[in-house]
Amino acid sequence: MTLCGPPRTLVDMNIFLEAQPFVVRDFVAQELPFKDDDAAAAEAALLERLEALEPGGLIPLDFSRMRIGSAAARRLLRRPLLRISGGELEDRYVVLGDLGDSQYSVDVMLEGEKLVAIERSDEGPQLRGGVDPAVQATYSQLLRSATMTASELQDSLGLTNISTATNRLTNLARLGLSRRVEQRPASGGGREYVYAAVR
Amino acid sequence: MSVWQRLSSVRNDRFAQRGLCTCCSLLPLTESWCKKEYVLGRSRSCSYRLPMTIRSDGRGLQSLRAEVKRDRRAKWVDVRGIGLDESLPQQALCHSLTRCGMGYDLSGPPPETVVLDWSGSLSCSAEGVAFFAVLAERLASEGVRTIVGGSDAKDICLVLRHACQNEAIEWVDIPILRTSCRFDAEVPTTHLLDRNGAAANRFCDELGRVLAKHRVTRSVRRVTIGAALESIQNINVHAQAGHATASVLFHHRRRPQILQIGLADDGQTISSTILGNPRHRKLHVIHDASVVLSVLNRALSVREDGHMDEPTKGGMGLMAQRFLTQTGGNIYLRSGAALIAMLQHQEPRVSRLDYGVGTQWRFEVPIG
Repeated sequence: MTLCGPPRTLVDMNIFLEAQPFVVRDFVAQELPFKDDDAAAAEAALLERLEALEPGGLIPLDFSRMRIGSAAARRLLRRPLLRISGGELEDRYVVLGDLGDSQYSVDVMLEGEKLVAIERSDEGPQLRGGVDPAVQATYSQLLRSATMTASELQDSLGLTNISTATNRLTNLARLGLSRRVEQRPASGGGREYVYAAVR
Repeated sequence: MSVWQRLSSVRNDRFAQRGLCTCCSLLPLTESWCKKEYVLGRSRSCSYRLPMTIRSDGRGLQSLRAEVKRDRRAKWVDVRGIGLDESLPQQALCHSLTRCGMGYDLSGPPPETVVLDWSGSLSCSAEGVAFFAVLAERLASEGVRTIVGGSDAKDICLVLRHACQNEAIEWVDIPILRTSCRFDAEVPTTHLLDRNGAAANRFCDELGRVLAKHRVTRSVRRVTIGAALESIQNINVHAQAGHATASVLFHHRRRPQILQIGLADDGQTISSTILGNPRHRKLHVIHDASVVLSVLNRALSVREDGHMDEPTKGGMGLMAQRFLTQTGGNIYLRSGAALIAMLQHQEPRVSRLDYGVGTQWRFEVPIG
């Protein structure tokens, strides 16, 4: 006889499971890591933690007490972000925090690699990197409420087509910037997903 | 007249027709001290050496120049072009440095003594101070007797003394004629190369303190430190320099007041780093300036898995763009023989030099 676990519904998955912050300084030997190799140990540790996360897990990256060059930042962030957006680490999320003077190094690196990440700054969650204007507008709109559906996004942004709104939200989720938290019946029939922004 | 004397006179006539010195074929004939008589193809003064002690009174520099003229193993370098403001003095300086074995193949034995002369310099810039420190340290470390001729401006003298504190370097001071203080060294000249990045970190801390003192906005502070970080990273990762320094000067007499962040190194230039990649070898016929402009504008940064077809921008190009946009300042860059000025609301101004050693950066942040 096979044992089955307790039934899960999408209603259960309505929160981000925030893990302990990943303090980058603990994994780099240099005060100011520049080179690719300087961040190798940190990258390996971050990937290990991401793989051990449960679905819906979120790791805040703590860059306090250090500065980082763009080459070392690239080594630290590129592979984890590609695995998250590529689906290899589906439903896992990272946010950057306490970037301080490293902000522009990380920003320039992300833009150069055409990646996007979220920074928890004093002004609230900000997108960093090569941000498409449509992605920026969708994310900003999603931040204004706890959750949002495609139809709500269509109304708020004045989009002509519901499929455009759906595609934007799907793209945002693929990039690891939002999460599907619920599925519910749509007003015109059918079902629609509810999204929440990573913040 | 012997065969050698006839050949020498023909050679001297040809150089004289072109207005060049007949012994070194480089300096113009107006430099009367350079005329020497050639006997059997050799100068009479090849065996003369500079005295070990130098006069330290007000006429020390003049007498030193006379001594250097007589010693063929000594070189006099006028550092008026050490800043990146004008291309002609910079061209002359880079050319002089080739005679010291920097920036070009030195034909002949290296000099035993080099005099870096600041007496003719009217002003000073951050990247000039940084490059001076690099040159002095490099020459001293190669065993070259390095003598620095001081300036008649008090502010320049103070900055130079702090920039270079190597005890092996000799200083010949001249009377101070200009006592006004046009600029301050906000951050002492910092040597950047160490294993764990501690020196670079200290420099960034000091730079942050200076920027906070001048009440710049947080975004300006971060982009300025980011630009300095990116330059320091390139020195550590790509240039493989033997010597690298950074300096910060605050020109408080200018309007608007200007904070200059200068960085310099004597390692591989941007162009040589790019051309080191086998994929880009066919670009070797292109001048350094064109290669550097390509790096700043587009995608020729050397990365392990970079693709030439993908038009992504290199880190330095993006950082320069952010700096110019956010601060309203200017950027000056010399890398090898490429001299580029990126000014506000203007197209980049490009000068193609003949020679160049290492790289110099100047970031200008307007204050107030």
